Amino acid sequence: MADSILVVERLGKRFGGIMALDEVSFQIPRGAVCALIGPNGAGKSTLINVVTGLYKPTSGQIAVEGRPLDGLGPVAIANLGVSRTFQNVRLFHSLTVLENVLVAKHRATPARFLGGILRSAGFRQREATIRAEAQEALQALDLWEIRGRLVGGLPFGQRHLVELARALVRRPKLLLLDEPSAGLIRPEIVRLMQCIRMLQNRGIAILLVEHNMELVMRISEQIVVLDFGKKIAEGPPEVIRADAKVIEAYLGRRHQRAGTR
Amino acid sequence: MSRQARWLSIGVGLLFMLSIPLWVTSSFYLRLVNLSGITIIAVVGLNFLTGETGQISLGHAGLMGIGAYTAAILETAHHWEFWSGTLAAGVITTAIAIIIGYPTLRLKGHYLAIATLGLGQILWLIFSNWRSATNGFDGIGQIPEPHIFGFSIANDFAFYYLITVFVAAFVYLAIRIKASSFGLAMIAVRDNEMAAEAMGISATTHKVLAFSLSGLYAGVAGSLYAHLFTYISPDAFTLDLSILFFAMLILGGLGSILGSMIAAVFLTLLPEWLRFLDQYYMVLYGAIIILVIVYMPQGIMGVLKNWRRWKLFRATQPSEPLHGG
Amino acid sequence: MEQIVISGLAMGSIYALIALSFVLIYNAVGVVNFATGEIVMLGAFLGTTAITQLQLNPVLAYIAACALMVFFGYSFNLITYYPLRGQSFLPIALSTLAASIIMRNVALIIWGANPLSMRGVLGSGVWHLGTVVIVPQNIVIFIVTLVLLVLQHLFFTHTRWGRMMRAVAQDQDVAKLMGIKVNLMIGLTFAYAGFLGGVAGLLVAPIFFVTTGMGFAVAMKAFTASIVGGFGSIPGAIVGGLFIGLVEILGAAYVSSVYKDAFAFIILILVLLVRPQGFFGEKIAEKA
Repeated sequence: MADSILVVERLGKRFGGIMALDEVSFQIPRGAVCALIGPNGAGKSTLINVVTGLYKPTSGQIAVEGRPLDGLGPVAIANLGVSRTFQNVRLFHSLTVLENVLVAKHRATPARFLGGILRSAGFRQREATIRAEAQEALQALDLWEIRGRLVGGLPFGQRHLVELARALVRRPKLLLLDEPSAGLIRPEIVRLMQCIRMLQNRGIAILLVEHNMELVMRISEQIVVLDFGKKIAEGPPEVIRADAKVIEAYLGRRHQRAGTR
Repeated sequence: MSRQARWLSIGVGLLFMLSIPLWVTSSFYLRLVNLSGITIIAVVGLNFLTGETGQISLGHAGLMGIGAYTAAILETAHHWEFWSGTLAAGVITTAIAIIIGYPTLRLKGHYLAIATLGLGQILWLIFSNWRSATNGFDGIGQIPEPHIFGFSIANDFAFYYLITVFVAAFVYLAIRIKASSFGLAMIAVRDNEMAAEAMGISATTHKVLAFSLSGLYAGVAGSLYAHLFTYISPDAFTLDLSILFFAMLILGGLGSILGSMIAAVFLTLLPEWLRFLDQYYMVLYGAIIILVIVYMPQGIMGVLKNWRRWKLFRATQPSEPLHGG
Repeated sequence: MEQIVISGLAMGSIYALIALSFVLIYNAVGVVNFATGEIVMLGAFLGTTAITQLQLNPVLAYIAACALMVFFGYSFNLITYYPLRGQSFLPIALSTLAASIIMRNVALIIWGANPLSMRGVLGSGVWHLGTVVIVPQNIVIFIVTLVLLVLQHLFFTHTRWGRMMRAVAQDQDVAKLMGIKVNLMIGLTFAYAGFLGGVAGLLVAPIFFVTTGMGFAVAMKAFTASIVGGFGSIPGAIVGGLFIGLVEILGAAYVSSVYKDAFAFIILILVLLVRPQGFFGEKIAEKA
């Protein structure tokens, strides 16, 4: 239990008459890659939004590194070491690639405010450290060359990567990826897989919401399956692949063929 | 531009600025120039809120009024002097901006626009009706002149240099803040509030910060205004002034400090240049605003940036056309 | 007391009409029209000119004024909103603000700074019903507003054009896919909003002096009314308008008549702080 970075216990979220999440429980061990799958409308994005504080749960508990979230807001949760990407990529369109990543390291303290105005030695040193971290994140994702470009003009696949760099530079303990492969072409998906492996090597735990089954089966250690807001299965890829409930709810014949490849 | 060229142009610009009172002989015109300086401070302050953070405020003139009345009341009724009066003006306006800001800035777009409109009006009503403090429509007069190191700033000439110091200081502050991560954070909040919060940037904190900064600048501008004209009344701080500030921001280019400065000077001097138009000026002014919004949505700075980009592009094109004609 | 209530409701009806003009535009294009008050002012001036200065037959005068306002509303769209459609909130807000400045100053040039006045259809005397003194114009206001609202309701629910306009207000993209000429509907919405504002101006002109500054005061009350009623809600605009009208007059009578205008603002701030969605409004949650 102490080894889990995320503990979700009997989580429920109701919107009016609809139970988007119903008694969902699972854990993610430190540094693990866990995939969340299920048909459309199963509640996957809702779960991410609840874990990151956009919605308050109607029942149940979430704990990050043992600390219960208890209705904390998105900013507080982000400061606990949780980062996320968005399904419809949400970059800051007035800023460049580099600025999008730099701003993720911003902390609003009076000391930093004064530092920014007075530009003391301590401030400049911290600035240099932040720039180095940003550079590292951008280089890891092959974005360093285009760091000066406005994100608005970038192709879709690169914008996804910038989002990833932005989430990554915060050195999160838990990274939530909301359909990162949506809209990517095959070589980009391969690159995405390499990135996820790289993140895993750095000890970052990842919760991945995905529809791309090949990606999911290859990269995850653990899979949680949702359907109509309920968890219907959990386990390693081999087990899930063969689970009748899952296949029935979601995967269907197409994946059975893929599974035997 | 190379570093040397940049320093040279700054130097020349500075010399030009410092020499202005020497060759602007009409004291009426110099008064206008001084007013533009004060307006620069007010508009650069508004830029934090509207230009960078994307929040509308139609009550900025009201905040400036708070600064003006604070300084005026403290100095006429309680014999404070310029520096303490201006400091108080800045501090109190900032404090009121924080108090107003917290509940109000939760509102979005239209609600915020109407709320700030209402707040500006409430302030105007207070200025007009709280006679015991503000003298109502009679206004407060005989605001004492500033004394700096024994010199008294008694005319527009001397005032020019005082205002230049203030403008330089507050513009520098604005440039620093904009270049810091706070500047980036405010733009992030404007561009995509949800993503900003997911990155640990609290939208409310930064909106209130922007609002407070706008209050600080408005308060100081208000105090300077009171000392420049030595008389203030509620009719100086109306919705029309708030709209004017907003128009200056858009004309200059939302988010651009330099653009705000240029537009502030331009729209302060324009009514004088077009004085012969009489009442038609206001109609022209309204028309200019709409034309700028439709045809130059990025303002002056947008045009300059595009012009530069176009020149660069042209420089990379072959000098002969590839096809005939 | 009854007198006060009747006056309050009458003013409230006017605020309701103006709030409606404002809400219809907001629903159609998501834009706050800051020139709403000036549209009312224009209606008032047109009516006053037609009746007092041109000495036209009252029926003709009112019809002409209303027709002009319809035409004006449509042109207003062409100049202020249409070139900016699809842009963000800030430029469009400033555009309508600029329009209000232009309108106010054009009115100043045409009609001058002196307040004008206009006689109502039922004359300027007062009627006595037992102990109650009634200003006849108030009756006119009630009747006109009621008739207008009923006709409007029928138009929007039972005619094809009305339903098309509502469709555009609900979802422009889907309306477009259904073959509805969206831009035309938007133009018509503006035209109708102009008409409503004009009617409000014609109704209120006999009660107050007609000046170039009158637009702002009534507009603020109308904005407040629509927020109190629930932004974007048509019944909300009506209820909100009546509410503000009543509160204002009761406040002026029992609390302080000097700060009469402040009551609307205070209510505005209170509602925005405590319950921004008003009586009938819906909270909108953003999806990630």
